[in-house]
Parts: sequence; C-alpha cells; structure tokens
Amino acid sequence: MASILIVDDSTTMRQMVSFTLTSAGHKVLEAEGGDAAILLAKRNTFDLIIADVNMPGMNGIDLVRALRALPEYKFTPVLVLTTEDSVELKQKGKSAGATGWIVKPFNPEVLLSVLNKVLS
Amino acid sequence: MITPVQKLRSHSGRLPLLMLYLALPWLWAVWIVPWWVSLVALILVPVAAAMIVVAVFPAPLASRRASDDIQLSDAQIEKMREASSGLHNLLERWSTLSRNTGVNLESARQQVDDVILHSEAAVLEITNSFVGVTRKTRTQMEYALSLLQQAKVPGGNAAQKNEDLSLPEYIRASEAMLKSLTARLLHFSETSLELVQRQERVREQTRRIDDLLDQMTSLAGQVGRFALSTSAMVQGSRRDDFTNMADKVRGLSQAANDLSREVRQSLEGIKDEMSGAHTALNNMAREARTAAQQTIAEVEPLGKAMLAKNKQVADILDRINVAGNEIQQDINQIIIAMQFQDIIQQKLERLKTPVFTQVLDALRSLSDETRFLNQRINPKLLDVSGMTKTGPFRVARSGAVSTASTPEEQPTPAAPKLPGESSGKIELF
Repeated sequence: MASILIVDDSTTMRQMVSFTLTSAGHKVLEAEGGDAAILLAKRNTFDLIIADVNMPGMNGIDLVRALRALPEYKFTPVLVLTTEDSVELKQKGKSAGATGWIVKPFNPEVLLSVLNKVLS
Repeated sequence: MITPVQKLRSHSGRLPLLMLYLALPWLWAVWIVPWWVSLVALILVPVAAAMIVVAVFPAPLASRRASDDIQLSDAQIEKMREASSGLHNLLERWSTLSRNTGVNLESARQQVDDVILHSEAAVLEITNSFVGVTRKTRTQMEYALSLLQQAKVPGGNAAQKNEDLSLPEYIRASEAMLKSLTARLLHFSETSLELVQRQERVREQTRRIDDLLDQMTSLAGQVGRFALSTSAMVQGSRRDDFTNMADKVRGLSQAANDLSREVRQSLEGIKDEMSGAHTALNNMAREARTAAQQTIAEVEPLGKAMLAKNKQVADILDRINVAGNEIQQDINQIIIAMQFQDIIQQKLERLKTPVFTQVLDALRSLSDETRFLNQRINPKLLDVSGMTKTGPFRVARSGAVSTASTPEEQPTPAAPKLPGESSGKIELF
C-alpha cells in the first residue's frame, strides 16, 4: 500500500483517480492546486504524486519543478495526468523532473499497472 | 434652385414620348370633330407636356448634387470627408471582424458539436455501463440465491435427492446424518463399557484363582511336612502320633476340597463372563456391521452429493467471479467516460477565452468606434470621456486613427484536440 497525492483542479478527476487507487488499497490525499499540493507534500510523506498540468495558479509543470526542489521529493515518482499531448509540453515535463506522462482519459487498470511499475 | 428651363432640358429626351401619349386621345377624334378643334388640341399638347415635366417630374441627380454642393460650406465638406474616411475604416473593420468572427464561430460550432457528441457518447457509455453493472449484479445475486433456493426433486433416489438439495437443506441433511452416526457411536461406546465391566469381573475371578492357587501351594507345603512327620512317626511307632496325623490329613483333605470347589466356582464365573462377553461382542460386531452398512448407505450418496455440490458451488463461484470481472470492466468504462467531463470543461475553457472573449472585445471596440463616429457626425451627442480608450484602436477628435490593433493581429484560438485522439497514452521518462 502506497501513500499517493492527487493534484487536479477537477473534482471529478480527483474522485475518479482516488476511487481507482483506494480500490487497489492505496492511501490517497487530494489537492486542487499546485500551492495546496506543496503544503500537503511538506506536511506528509508521499510515495507517489499524480498531477494535472492545466490548473489555476501553479500549473503541473511548475509543481513538478517545485517538488523536485524539496529534498524529500527529489527522487519521488511524479506522474503527469493531463489532456495535453504536445511534444513540447512533454519535454517541459521531462525537463522539470516528471517521471511519466499519462494522457486523459486514463484506463484504471492501465493506471494501476503503471503505478505498480513506477513504485517498484 | 433648378429653373423650369433646366428641368425641361434635363428631361428633353422624354418630352416627345410624353407628347405622343398626350396626343393619342385626340387622334381617334380627328374624323368626327371640326378640324380647327383638332388643331388647337394638338397645339396644346406640347404645352401640357412641358407643364407636366416642370410640375411633376423630379429634378435629375446631377442637378440635385450640384444644388447641394452649393449649399455645403468647406468646413462641412471636410468634416463629411473625415466622417466618410472613418466610416470606411469602420466598415473595413466590421468586415474583417465579421470574417474572423465567422471563422471563429465556425470553429466554435465545430467544437461545440464535438463537445455535444462526446458528452452524449459519455452519458450513453455511463448509462450502458450502469445498466450492465446492475444486470450483472442481479445475475450474481441470482447465482448466489440458486445455491440457497434450489428445489428438491420429489421422487428421486437418495443421491439424486441429495444432489438436488439446496445448500441449507444439504447442510441440514449432513447434520442429521452426523447425529445418527454419533448416536450409533454412543451405543458402541456403551456396549464397550459393558465389555470392560465384564473384563473387570473376569480379572477379579482370576485374582481369586491366584489366591486359591497360593493356598494350594501352602497346602502342598503342609503335605510335604506331613510326609516328613510320618517318616519320623514310623521310626518311633507311637499311637498318638498316628491319631494326630490322621486328623491333620483329614483337615488337609477338607481344605483341598474347599479350594477345588472355590477354583471351580471361579472358573465357572470366568466361563460365564467370557460367554457373556462373547455374546456382547458378537452383538456389537453385528450391530457395528449393520451400522457401518447403514452409514455407508447414507454417506456414499451424501459424499457424491457433496462432490456434485462442490462442483456446482465452484461453477457458480466461477460465474460470479466472471460477472465480478465484467462489473469491474464496466466500472472502468464508467470511470473513463466520466473523465470526459474534465476534458469537455477544458475544451470549453479553450473556446471561451480565445474565441468568445476576443470576439466580444473586438465587438466592444467597434461599437465604441461606431458610437464615436456617430458623435462626430452629430456633435450634439459628443461625449469622449472614456470612450476612445477602450478599443483596440483609438480615434482622435480630428477623426484620425492612431492605433490599429485589428482582430487579425490577435492570436487565433488553438484548435482543441479530440479527447479520443490520443487518450490513454502513457510515456515514462
């Protein structure tokens, strides 16, 4: 069982991802923006972070960058879950330190298999 | 002002035709009226035509322009030229905006159509998945209930009966059989206890025989000692000694008889006990055989039924498992479909900001400029406060356009991609 943080401004998306992960036995916390995610990340320890890109305030790429600046999250896997599929954005995410890029809509089974792969 | 002569000159081309029209009513009467009447009427026709042209016909356009030019001052003409220039500029902008708005709205229409299609598909997918989940859950419940509610087939043999038992009935039958088996085992236990008691009594008799044998050994010792005493008496030949000896021998004989009787009685007791034990063992063996046969007769079909029931339970559990997996797939589909809400929201956001906001801004600016031009043409309405600063271009009091941020220069909205085009792609860095 892993401790996972979901960052997305869409309540529906957070609920969908949370439902998928909690069904698989993971412990999940949610944040609706980058700033809230950073606060949660400082107060808790997460094994994995899943973040959207398009969010009001701090976007997903900046969030990845900010997380990588924290010593305790230097090597924590961060997956980007977004509708964006442009090569430039992917490259930005990779440069910022993202571990992977998943394009919405996600298939729960596939998401869990990726999760297990990343966590292992 | 146009003089009658100018008007007649301008309409000179139409005069002959007009005179012909006016003369026609008099031509038919030439043969029936006096000649001088016809002559006077035809002479008056050109006069009537001239009067009609002067009184009824409008002045020609060129004449009217010339007349207006005369009335306008140079300042007014300059003002009109500026207004015309602004109007021309405005119309060009309106045309450009209309064209761009048309393109944007067409793009928006396509996006909205796309959103509607995806929304409809998502709702349909969710509905179908929910229906599937409900149906499969009901199937699972029916499978589970079939284990509990299976009807017994009346008139079938024992095995068939057991195979057709529902799970609770099967459990009750097993319980009844176990109770019967336990009662038989209890009976065997009681019989065994009786056998143990018989053995205890035999052991008691055996111990009694042991004692008697000890006494007989003692008796033999006494007989030995009598033999020695007898040989001594033979050497002394005393009468009293023989009398005593005879009494003792009699006593020994009596004791030997008593011991023999007791041994016989003990042996009889042992024989009786052994006989009773044999009978009890025989009875028990017979009962055990009967009970074993009866148990086999009951357990065998129950065992077969248990195997069949196990297989049935395994089959039903397999089906329930398959239905569970299908339900999981449906739930996954629901999760995928529900994500379109987020995708649709982002598509609409992409539409809202670049398309509608830009169109609204451009329309607002053009509206301001139109109002400004209107006020330029009608100075009584002039109110420049905060009016010319909001648009993408500003019009000075003189009418000159100082900034021209046309709609074409604004960024066109990025075409949102379809949700299904690259959905679910995963890339690990």
